[in-house]
Amino acid sequence: MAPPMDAIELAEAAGIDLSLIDDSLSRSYEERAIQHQEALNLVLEMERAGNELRERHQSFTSAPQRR
Amino acid sequence: MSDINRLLQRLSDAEIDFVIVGGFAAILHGSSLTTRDLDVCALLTQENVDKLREILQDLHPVHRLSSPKVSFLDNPAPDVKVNNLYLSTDFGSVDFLSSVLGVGDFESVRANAVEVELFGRRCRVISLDDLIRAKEALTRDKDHQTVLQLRAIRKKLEVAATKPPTSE
Repeated sequence: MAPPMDAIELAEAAGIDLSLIDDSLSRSYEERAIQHQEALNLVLEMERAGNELRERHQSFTSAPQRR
Repeated sequence: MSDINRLLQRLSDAEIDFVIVGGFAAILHGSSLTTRDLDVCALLTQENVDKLREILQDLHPVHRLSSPKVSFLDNPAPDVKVNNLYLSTDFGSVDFLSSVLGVGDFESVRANAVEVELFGRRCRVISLDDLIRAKEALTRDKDHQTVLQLRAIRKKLEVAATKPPTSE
């Protein structure tokens, strides 16, 4: 029987990129907070762009068609 | 807008005893996940609620879960006891919790918390072991992902602690 996986192996098996965690652990607490805010800003910006694109698509498809 | 770091600096300046918990605590411990809000555990005494009103005043704090959203600046009334606050502000969402599931009340969370330096201020963060317990007590997918990351972080820190120091 195979030995049970440790926490690192379990995380890897779940598809977690451990290099990101290694990078984070090499930083100070403040650097982690700043890096997180930068990532969050990117997420929010992509979300905003996605919403804008969806609205434009909806207004395009719901506009009355000329005959 | 969501600026957790500015929100945190604002809270730190209020001289309220609090402990950072939740997703942002996981990030401070090394998680690579992102979170949109700040969760803190604190004693929500009338004195602390008054201090929060003062420091959040210009950020237009409202009760996020109420419908319609009512201002935190005059709700609840002074004689109403508060257990938790779920607020939305101009800097983002912030939740104040009087206890943490899986860990216990504020004193229990504070007892094992670690002190870290953030933006020139000393802040308390829930300990890694307590955070794992708290996340294990929740059942959402994202909490399960966080637990996997936090356990891996704990293992990495254990391994690093047993390695002999490298000589130069």
